[in-house]
Amino acid sequence: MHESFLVYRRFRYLKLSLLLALLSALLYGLHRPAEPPNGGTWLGYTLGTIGALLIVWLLGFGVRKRRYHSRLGSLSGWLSAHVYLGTALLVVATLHCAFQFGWNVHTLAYGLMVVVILSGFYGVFAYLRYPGRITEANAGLYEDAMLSEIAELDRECLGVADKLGDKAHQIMLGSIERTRIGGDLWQQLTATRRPRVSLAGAEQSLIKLRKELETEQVTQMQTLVQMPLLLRQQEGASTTTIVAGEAMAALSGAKVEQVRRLLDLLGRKKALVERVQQNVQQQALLRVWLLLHVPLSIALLAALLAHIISVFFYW
Amino acid sequence: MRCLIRTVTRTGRNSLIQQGKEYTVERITIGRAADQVVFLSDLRVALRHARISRTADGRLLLLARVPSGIHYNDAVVQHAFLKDGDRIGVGGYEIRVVIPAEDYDLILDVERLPGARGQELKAALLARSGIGLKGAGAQMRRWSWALFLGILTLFLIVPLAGFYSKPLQQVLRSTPLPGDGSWDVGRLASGHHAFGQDCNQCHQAAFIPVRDAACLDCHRGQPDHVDPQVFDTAAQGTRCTACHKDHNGPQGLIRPESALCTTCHGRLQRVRPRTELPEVTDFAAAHPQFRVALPSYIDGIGWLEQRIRLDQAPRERSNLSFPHDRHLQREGVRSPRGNVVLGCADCHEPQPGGARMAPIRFERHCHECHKLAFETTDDYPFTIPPEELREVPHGNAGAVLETLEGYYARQVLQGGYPDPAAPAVVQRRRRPGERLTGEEQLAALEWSRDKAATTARELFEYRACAKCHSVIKAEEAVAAWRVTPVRVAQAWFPKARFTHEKHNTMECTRCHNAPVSNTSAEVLMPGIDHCRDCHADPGAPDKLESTCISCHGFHMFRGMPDGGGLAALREQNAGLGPAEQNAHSSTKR
Repeated sequence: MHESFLVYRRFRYLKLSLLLALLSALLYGLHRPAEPPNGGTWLGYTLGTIGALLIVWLLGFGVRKRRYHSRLGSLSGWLSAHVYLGTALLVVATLHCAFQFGWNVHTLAYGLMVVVILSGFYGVFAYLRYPGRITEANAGLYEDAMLSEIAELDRECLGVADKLGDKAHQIMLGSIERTRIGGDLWQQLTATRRPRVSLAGAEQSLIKLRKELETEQVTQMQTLVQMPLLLRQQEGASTTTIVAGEAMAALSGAKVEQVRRLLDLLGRKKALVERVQQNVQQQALLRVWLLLHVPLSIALLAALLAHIISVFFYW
Repeated sequence: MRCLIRTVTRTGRNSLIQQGKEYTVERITIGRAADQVVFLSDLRVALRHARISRTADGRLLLLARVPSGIHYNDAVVQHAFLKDGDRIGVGGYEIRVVIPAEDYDLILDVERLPGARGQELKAALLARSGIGLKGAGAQMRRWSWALFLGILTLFLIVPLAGFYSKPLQQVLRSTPLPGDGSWDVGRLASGHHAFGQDCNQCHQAAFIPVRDAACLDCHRGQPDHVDPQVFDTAAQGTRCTACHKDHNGPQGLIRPESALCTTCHGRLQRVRPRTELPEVTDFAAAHPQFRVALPSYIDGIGWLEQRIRLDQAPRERSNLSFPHDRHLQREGVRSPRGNVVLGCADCHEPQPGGARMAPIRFERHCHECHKLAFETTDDYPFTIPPEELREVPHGNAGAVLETLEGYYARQVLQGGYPDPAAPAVVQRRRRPGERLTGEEQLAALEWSRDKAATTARELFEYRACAKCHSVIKAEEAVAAWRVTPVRVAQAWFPKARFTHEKHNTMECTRCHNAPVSNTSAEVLMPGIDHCRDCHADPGAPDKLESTCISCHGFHMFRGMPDGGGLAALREQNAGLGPAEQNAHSSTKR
C-alpha cells in the first residue's frame, strides 16, 4: 500500500517539527532577555545554531536523494523529514532573528531561506496535484507513444496530401513544420497556443482547398450535364470524351473525399497535440520550482556562511 | 554551373560510402519529383522544394520554393547565399555545401540523417519542440555556483578585504559597494550615529568581542561600579557590553531591565559570600528597607556620615533643635506680621532642577520671627520698633561677644544707662566735656565687661542661641562659647536618584509626616512601603513600572560617598567604634 511522504510513519516528522516549533515559540515567549530579543541572546544563539544545522541537514537531502544505495533511511522518510523540518525552520529562524529585519546580509539569508521554503511548499503542492492529473490525462498513453502517434498521423497526412497534389502537400508540410510542442520554459509553463493556431491555419487552408475542389467538381458536373445536349447537337463526339469527362468528375469527387480525410487526420492530430501540450505543461509545473529551490538553497548556504562569519567577526 | 552531388551513406561508426554524380546545369533543383537534380525520397520534401542558382554577381543563391521555407544552418529561411561549410536541411536529409576552388563550382554532400527509419517525423517533431526542462540540471548548477560565489564575494570576501586594507575600506564605505555596512545588524544608539559608518571604532579586532578599551577611548573617566581601590567585586570584571549592547535602536544602549542587576544582586551571597549587602531580586517583594545617610559630628574629627536603616529607628544628629509640629500648628505662629500659618514650601524650596531641597538659611527662613535680641527678655520682641531693637549677629559666636562688649562700652562712655544694679558712674548722665576719674573709668569698664558676659551667657545658654542650638562652654575661659556645628542631611539616600519634581502632584505630608513631629531628631524620610504604594516591577498590573535604574545607577556618581572619597573615609573610620564603622561602611565586603 502506497504511503504518501506526508503521512510517513503516522506523521512522525510532522509531530517532531510541531514539537520543535512549539518549543521554540514557548521559549521565545518566556524568554526575558535584558535587551530587546535578538539573535545574540542565549536563546538567539540556541535557535540560530538549530536553524543553521537544520539548513545544512536540509541541503543534505540533495545529496541523499542521489545516493541510491544509501542505507541511511528510506528516501520517503528523508523527504517527509525534509518537508516538515523545513517548515519548522521557518519558525525557528524567524524567532532567531526576533523579527528584526534590515538591509543587510542577515536579512538576505533570511529572505533566501523564506523563498526556498515557499518554493518547497509549492513543490509539495505540485507533487500532490500533478502526478495524478498527468496519469489521468494520459489515459495510459505515455508521452513518447503520443509523440509517435503524432508522427504517424503526420506521415499519413503527407501520404494523403501527396496524392492530392503539390498544393495540399505544401500546406501539410508547412503545418507539420510549424507544429511545435512546449518550447522554452515560459512556453511550457503557459502552454502557448502556437501549435493549435498552426493546425487551425492548416485546417483553414484545407477547407479552402476543399471548397475550390468542390467548385471545380460542380463545374465539371455541369459540364457533364450539358454534355448530352452538346453531344446531341454535335454528332460525332467520341465516347472516349464522355468517359474522360465522367472520370474527371469522379476523380474530383475522390479528391474532395481525400481532403475530408486529411481534415479528419488533422483533427485527430490536433486533439493529440493538445494532450501532449497539456502533459508537457503539467510536467513543467511539476518541476519548475526546483529551478528556484535548488540554486537559491545554495545561495542561502553562502548567505548563511557570510551571516555567521560576519556576526562573529564583528562580535 | 558544374557541380558534383555526392550521396553519403554511413555504414558504420567510422565508415561511409560516397557516390558522386556530376551535373552541368543552370540551376540545381532540390525536391521529391523525379526531375530534380537533388532527388530526395522523403514525404516531408515537397516535389519542388528548393533550388540553387548563380546570381549576376557570382554568388550562389539558395531559394525555397515552398512557403514553409528551408532549414539553413539551424534557421528556417526563404532564401540564403551559400558559402563553404553551410548546412541545408530538407526533410530527413542534410545537404552540406562544399565550394572547392577547382573542377566544380559546387559540391553538395547529401546524407540521410541517422535515426530509425520511419522515425524521422517524430525526431523532427522532437527537434522542433521543447519538451521537459532540458538542461535544467546544468542550468541549476550554473546558477547555484554563480549565486554562491557572488554572495560569498559581495557579502563576505569584499568586506573582509576591506577590514584588512584601509584604502579599500574607504572606497567601500564612500560608494554604494557592499562593505561591512552590509553586516550592520541594526540601528545604532543615537550617540553613536556620529561615527556610525566606521564599524572599527568599536569592532577593532577580528573575532574578539568589543573591548572596554574601545568604549573608554571616548568615555574616559567613566566611574566604576564601586571603588576599585577598596572593593574587589565580580562587577569589576564586567565588560561594558554586558549591559550596553548597541545596534538595538537609538535608545537601546541603556537597558532598563532589572535582570542586568539582579543576576548578581539577586544572589550576592553566592557571588561574594562575605558581603554585608542584602540581596535584591525584586523591588516590590525583595528589596531591603531604605537606609538614610545621617551626618553626625564627632568632636575632634568632624562630620561623619552613617547609613542607618529606617526600620532601625534612626535619630538625626544635626545638632539643631527644631520641632516641626510647633511651626506647622493650624492656628499659625506668631510673627511680626501677626499670626502666620506656615506650610512646607515656606521653608523648603526646591533647588534649581527640582531634584533636592535647597538648604534652610537662618537669615531667610528663621530670622523674621526668631530675633537675636538683647536688652529685652521677650523671646518675640515684635513690639519693639526695629530701630530700637538690639541684636547680635548670627553664625559667629566670637562676633556675638564682640558686639555685646562694644555696645556696653559705648553705654559706659555715654553714661546715663538706666540700670539700678550698675555703678553710679554708669547711671549718671554726664555733661559734655566732663571727664571721668581713673577709678571711675576702671569701675565703668569692669561693669561693661561683666554686663556683656552676663548678656552673652543669657543669649548663649538660655535664650536666642540655646533655643535652636546646642552650645558648648569651655570651662577654662571666662566667656568662651561654641555653637555645635549644624548639618542637616542633604542627600538622605545617596545611593538613589530621587527627584521631587516628578512627585510634585503629591502632598508633602504623604511621605513626610512633619505636622506631628516634635523633635528634629526624628527622621521624616519615607520608607520603602511609601514607594511601593505606587512603584513596582514591570508586569505589575496597577503600579508604575519601575526597574533598578529608575532609582539607581550602575556607575558610581560623584557626590556618592563611594564616588572617590570612600578609601579616605575608611581610614577615618579606623578610629571609630565597631558599631559606627559598621553603620557607616555598610557597603563593604
